[in-house]
Formats: sequence, C-alpha cells, structure tokens
Amino acid sequence: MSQKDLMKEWLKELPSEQPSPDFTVKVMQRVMSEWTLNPIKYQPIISKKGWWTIGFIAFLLTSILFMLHSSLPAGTDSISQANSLYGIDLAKLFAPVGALFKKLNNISPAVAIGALAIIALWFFDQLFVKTVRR
Amino acid sequence: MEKKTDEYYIREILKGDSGSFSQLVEKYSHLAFSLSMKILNQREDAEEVAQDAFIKAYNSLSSFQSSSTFKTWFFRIVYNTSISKLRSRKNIEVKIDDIKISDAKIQATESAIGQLNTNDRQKYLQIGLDRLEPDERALLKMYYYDDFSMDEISIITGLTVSNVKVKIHRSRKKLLQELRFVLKDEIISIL
Repeated sequence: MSQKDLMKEWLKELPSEQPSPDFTVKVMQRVMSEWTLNPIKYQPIISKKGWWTIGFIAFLLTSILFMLHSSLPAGTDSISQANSLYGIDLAKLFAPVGALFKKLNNISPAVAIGALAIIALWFFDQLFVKTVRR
Repeated sequence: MEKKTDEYYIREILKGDSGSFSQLVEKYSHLAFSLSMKILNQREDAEEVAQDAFIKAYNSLSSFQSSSTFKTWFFRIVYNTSISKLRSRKNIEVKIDDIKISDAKIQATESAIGQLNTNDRQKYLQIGLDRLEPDERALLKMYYYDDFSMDEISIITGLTVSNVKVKIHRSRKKLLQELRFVLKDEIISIL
C-alpha cells in the first residue's frame, strides 16, 4: 500500500466530526431572516422610469416629425421637391412618416376617440392605484 | 427521491426559491463543519464559522461562476472564514516549523502506527493532528480525507499547486514526527 493510501486509510478511520443536529435549521433561519430583509426581487430589463422616458421621447419625436411634415409646402411627399436640412434628405425621411400620417388620417374619428379613451382610462387607473398605495 | 445537482438548486435559489438552499446545507454541512473544526479545533467556533460560511455563500450565490464546482467554491469560503476567525483570536501560539525526522524514522513510525489497534491509532492520530498547525491539519484533511485534488486545494486555499504539494508533504512528515514523539521512540522500537 502506498504512503498516500495508508494515510488516507488512517485519517478516514477517525470519527467524523458532526455539527449539531439543528445545524441546518439554524442556517435556514438565518437565510430566511436575511431573505426577509432583502428578498430577491425580479428586476425588469427596462424599469418603469425607463419606459416613461422611452414613451416621452417617442411622443416628442412623433410630434416634431408631424410638425415638420405639416410645415412643408403641399406636395413634398414627392422626393423630387424635398428640401435638405443639415445634409439630411428630408424627403426620404418624410416618405414613410407621410404614409403613416395618411393612414392615420383614414382612421375613423370614433375609433381614434375610443383608443384615446382606453389609454386615458389606463392612465387614470395607474394613477389611482399609485395614490391608494401611498 | 431523485437527487438533483448543485447547479439545479443554485438556479432555483437564484429564481427566488430560498428553501432550495437547505438541500445544499444538508449536503455540505458535515464537510464544512469538519474543515473548520480542523482549522479552529474548537466546536463552538467551528459551528459558528460553518454557519457564517453558508450565509456568505447564500449572499454571493449570484457571483458563483460555474468554471469551478460549487463544492470547491464553497470550501474556499469555509477555509477563508475559518482562517479569518483564527486570526481574530488573540495570543495565537506560533510554533517553530522544524522537521527533523529522517526517512528511515518515518518508515519505522508508519510501520508502528500500522500495527496499533484501530482505537489506539485513532487516539494517537488525533493527538498528532492536534499538535499540527491549523492550516496543516486542513490541508491533510482536504487531501487525504475529502479527496480533493491538488488543483482544487490550490483554488480553495489560494496557494499555488506546487506550494500545496510541498505543504502537504511537509504536513504529513510533521504529523509522523509528532506521532513518533507521542508514541516515544521506545514503543516504536518494541513494535
């Protein structure tokens, strides 16, 4: 038998040291008290604040594009009459925007009011829930 | 009941099921306690340190990288926590590490120990181990008792593999020297 095996055999003969029977319970009590103080929370990739910022920026961009589009003389939908702003070809930029606004114009006012009402309801519901929680 | 892997329980804990941690505690409590016991040589301290190590592991579970096994990662925490506790104790006795035993005497001691009955061997080995430095006891335990490889012990202790090799060799030699001292030369010559 090699020296390593001999030492291994002797050390394994030694009575094993056991922790107290309630060791696991004690550890879990501490784990649970730590968990109560600092529970693992699911962190969304984009926070609520982030969503509000994204929404605001999207709204701002749409408004700017809408205003710019409205300020252009009639018929600028065609690329040939487009102006250039700081080297940006506005016609190319406005072509899809114009198409989108055209489509939006085709939406019936009843549907638009309905959609706006749903958004407003959701917004007031969120506001109400937040106020109650406080 | 089907046994799940450590990685499975870790995933469950990270998902928010803290109860799954009890499975890891059950599995490693004995090994963690016996390692800290080897270093601290005091039951109360060893139990406290083992508990602290589990809490530390639980709190830093999200930083666990599966490049090493959970067992090795956790034992590094147990080892470091035990060493920190040891350092915090006042009046640590520093022994001069002086190994003078010759190879011939090592063989004679090994042969003598081999001829003892199990109870006597256990008794003398325990005395011999108690006379070693805490880190020497821990290294011998990890290598000979827990079957950790040199590489794993290197990760746990933070020592280089070659340093671990040298330290284990020296610790084994020192244990045999202490055993020779305990058993006395006369008994060894009679055996």
